[in-house]
Amino acid sequence: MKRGYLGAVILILVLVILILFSPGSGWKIRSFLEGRYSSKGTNEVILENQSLKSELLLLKNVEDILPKWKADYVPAMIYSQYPFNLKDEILLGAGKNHNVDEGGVVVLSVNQNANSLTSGGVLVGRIKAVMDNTSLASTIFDSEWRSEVKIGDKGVEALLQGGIKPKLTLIKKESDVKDGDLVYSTDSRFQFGIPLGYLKGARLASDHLLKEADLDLGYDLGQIQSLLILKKP
Amino acid sequence: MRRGENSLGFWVSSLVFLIVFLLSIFLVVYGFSKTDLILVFLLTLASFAGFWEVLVFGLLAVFLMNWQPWINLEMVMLLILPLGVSLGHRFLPGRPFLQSFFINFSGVLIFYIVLGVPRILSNLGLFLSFVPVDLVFGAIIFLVFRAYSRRNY
Repeated sequence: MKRGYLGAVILILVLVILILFSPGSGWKIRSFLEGRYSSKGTNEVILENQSLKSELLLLKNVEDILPKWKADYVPAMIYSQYPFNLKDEILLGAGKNHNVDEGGVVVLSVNQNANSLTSGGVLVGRIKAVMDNTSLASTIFDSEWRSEVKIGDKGVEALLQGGIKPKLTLIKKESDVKDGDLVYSTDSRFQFGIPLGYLKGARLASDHLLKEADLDLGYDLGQIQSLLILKKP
Repeated sequence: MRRGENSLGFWVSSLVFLIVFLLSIFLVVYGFSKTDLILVFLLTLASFAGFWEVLVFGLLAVFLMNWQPWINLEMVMLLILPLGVSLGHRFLPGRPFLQSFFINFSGVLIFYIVLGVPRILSNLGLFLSFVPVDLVFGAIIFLVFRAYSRRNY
């Protein structure tokens, strides 16, 4: 019996040390099992991300519609993702030492040049806390995410409500929106006009006074290995 | 079911933990929603295993599940709730299966209430959809543990 307790005490000590001094080992195990882990450098992984281009129908033919913007960025690996329900956060592998600021916009890269991104990212989240070499971002999949968006070339206003399946709400009943309309951010916290996805399944809201719709994203965050953090202008 | 210390073998608990951990990851990878399988595993384990064994698995869960470089409320709850059950489950009335059902339901509920009632209220549909899934998984884990306990004691 004493041997059993000794074993338990040793295990407890090892685990406490790992939790406090090497939390990254836990992320790596999970990332590996999730198929997200890569021993390659961030830039190589970002290039791999670009192979998602074909899935991101999102940006097809929209560059003419959206306002042009340019921003410097920091590439960052996704280390880990919130493991429970009702909330979504990701830990990114860039922090204060990489000039990441709180409030920085997190985008999925599809069209970046050397060090600056030109109208080519899809809005994924926003930095909420920055550490030395990592930063924590809340994503549009978080149930508390709210941001202003516009829909289609007519610019119909709506509110993006985060969640496992992000929803577009507060769309005026008389507005003419249809499946396939581009949804882009108009929130003052982000660069104007960053696309988010396409509108899908517009319908009357439960109050029958407004419309709501789903957001067709064209990507699965669980499959993404890295993102870009836009620097503040 | 024998209650109290070490009525369940450590290796059985380890095997079930491994299966539950892998299942919780692969369910997400293959497009299902996130689950609270690890929390439910720990809550169920707490009725079968001793305090120290629950602590070991609680810490292992924190090590593998923590998504931040620091300890946060979720991880504290993941550790404290099963330890509380481990100390207090013997005072609960009723049959072990119903006890376990009640413990899992209350544990998941307390976990999310502590994280924020507004989150539950604004996602009531989602909450009501994953809690039954958690309870079903909890019942399955309970049956596995009970089967093993009966065979050995």
